[in-house]
Order: sequence, then C-alpha cells, then structure tokens
Amino acid sequence: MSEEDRAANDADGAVELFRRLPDEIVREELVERFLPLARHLARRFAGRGESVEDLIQVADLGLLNAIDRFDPDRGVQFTTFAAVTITGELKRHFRDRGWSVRVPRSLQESALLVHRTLETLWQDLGRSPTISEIAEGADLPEEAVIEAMDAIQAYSPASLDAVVSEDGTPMSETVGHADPSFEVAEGWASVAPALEKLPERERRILYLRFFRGMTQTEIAQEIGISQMHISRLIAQSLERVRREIRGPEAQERGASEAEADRR
Amino acid sequence: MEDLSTPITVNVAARPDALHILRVVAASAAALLQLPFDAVDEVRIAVDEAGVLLLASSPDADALQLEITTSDGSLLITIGTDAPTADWPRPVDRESWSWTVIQGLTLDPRFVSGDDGRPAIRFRTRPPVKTP
Repeated sequence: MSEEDRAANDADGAVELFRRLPDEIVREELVERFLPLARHLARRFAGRGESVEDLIQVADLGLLNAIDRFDPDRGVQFTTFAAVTITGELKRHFRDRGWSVRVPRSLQESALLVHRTLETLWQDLGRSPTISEIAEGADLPEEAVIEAMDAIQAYSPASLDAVVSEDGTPMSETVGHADPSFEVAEGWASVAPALEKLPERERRILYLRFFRGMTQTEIAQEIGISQMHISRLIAQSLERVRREIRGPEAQERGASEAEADRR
Repeated sequence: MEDLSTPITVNVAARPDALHILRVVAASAAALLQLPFDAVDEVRIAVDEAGVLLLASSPDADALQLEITTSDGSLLITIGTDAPTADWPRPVDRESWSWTVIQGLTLDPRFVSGDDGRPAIRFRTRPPVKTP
C-alpha cells in the first residue's frame, strides 16, 4: 500500500489509536469519538416500532464490536467498517424480532409500487415476473407483494349464489351466434348471454385465456396492453359474468356491494 | 425453494370473508415455487372460486380446509368442507360458473369426496413456463 493510500484509509485518524490498543483509555477515546456515528445510524432506524433508546443501545454495542474486530492493516477506513458493522447489528436486531427492516409502507403504497414494478419487469423480461422478482424490484417483502396483489385485484366473488340458476337461459338461445368457440364448452355456452354483454375486448381476452389457453403475458402482447391490465380485465370480466347470471335481486345486492366498495 | 416437504394445511371458518386467507396462503405457496405473476394470480382466482362453490353447496359446513402439496413443480391444491354431503357434486355444481372458471384456470380439476363423504375440490396449477 502506498503512503497515499494509507493516508486516505486513515482520513478519520483512527489507525494511530488502534495501534495503541488494547489500552483501555485508548479504547474509551475511540468509543467517544465514534459514538456520534453510532447514534446517527441508530436514529435512521427509528420509527419502525423500536424505541430510540433501544436502537441506540444496539448501535453502541455494534460500535464496540467494530472496535474489537477492526484490523488497521486491512486498508479500510474505520468509519466505513464501523458503519457497516453497526448497521448490520441494527438490522439483525429487527430480524431477531421477526420484523422487516424495510421502510414500512401502507398497503396502497405497496400496491402502487407492485403495479409499477410489475409493468417494468414485464417489459424488461418479456414474460411474467415471479413474485420474488417483483419483491426484489419493489424492495418489498414477498408477503407484501401478495397482499398488494389482493388489493390491486380486489377479486372477490362474495356471492354465494354463483351457480347458474336451473331455470337459466336455455341452450338454444346461445347456439349459432357470437364467436363459435364460446360454444365448445357447455359451461360457457350457458353463460353466453352474459358474455355477450361484455365489451368486445374483454370477450376476446376471456376467449384467448380460456379457449386458446394463452397466458396473460401472451394475451397482453397480442392485444397490446399491459399484463397487469389483462389480469384486471380477466378478474373484472369473470366478476361481471357472475353478476349477470345471478338474477336481478342479486344484482341489486351486487350494486350495493359496489356502492360499499366505493365508500 | 422447489418443494414443500410438509403439506400446508389451513382451516378457516366456512364464511365468504375468510376466503381471502386461503387466497393469500395459496398465492404464497405458488410464490415459493417461483411461479410467474400471472400463474399466481390465477391460483388465487381458482382457490376463491372453489371456496365459493363449496360454501354454496355445503351450507352446514363450519370450516373450510385448504391443503397444498407439490408435485413436479406444480401445486396440488385441495379445498374441502367439514360437512359430509351425500350428493356431491350435484348437477348444479358441475354447471356452476365457478366450476367453469376453475376448469379454465387449472389442470386436472375434479370433485372429490374425502373422509366421511366430505366434499372437496382438487386441482393442479399449471407448471411454470420454461423461460428461454
């Protein structure tokens, strides 16, 4: 190591002190000098459910560990080494308590982030990203991504009368019009009138997904809108068909549910 | 993580507002298998639909049970109730919109009868698409 490097690595002037260890007085001087650094780092972790006093204790302990473990011949400035050690100690403190060290975010914020990250990754990768890829991209824990999916989609067929009524639309009404592919499955044929009421694009998306077996990513590419959008349109369309087939009384209830959703 | 060495089992109250718990558990299991977002999305929908169907046909049920195991990179998901039903599935179950959706989103969906004739629905998720 050149003299220049040596000087750069000792910009905080700690090396000389370290060479005089294990003198207790020198050790105290080091603690005193770097305590503000520890306190500063501790405060950066405040507001996450742990008291500042506790965090300061953890950071102080981290500083003591850093002093004990620092090797002045390694060519690293002590400030850098101490910051890494103290931050590691603080993170471990949170982890030990089973808490995420990430900045807490509201569900809405997470949902927005997940949405954006999904769009970006989908563009970049040309395929549907995995949950862990989204989590990494959004800097969120995986469980937050999954919760956010629920929030984004809000797909919840709350109705229990989701079955096709026995006096439902006769098959004869559904045969011979609309896209013939919809007639391949009896289940779909019986809901054809409901499908008819969907916008053309939504009907096409359901057709591509359920009859052509295309993935959401493939459909997104084919139709030219984002995968998130496809995911939403599929969920919404399934929900709409459901509402259509469960009779006027249930539809009213559906409307009041939607009303409640808006509140 | 590629495999669930121990099956996941979850019991919730047989109520529509408990379905979101099953959705989240199934989505988490799918995420463990590194399934893509769209597949995870559809697992959630299929689980939800199965729950809706079971609640409708099993009004006496107190609990819904979800069991998840893995096989060949896909999830084997079974959802059932604790109320024995002699008549399962009824024609109306086979014709239901929920069943139509489940058939479209999953592999090998079937109606099964568990211990003491407890009704259940079982399906596999699509295996992850191989990326080049």
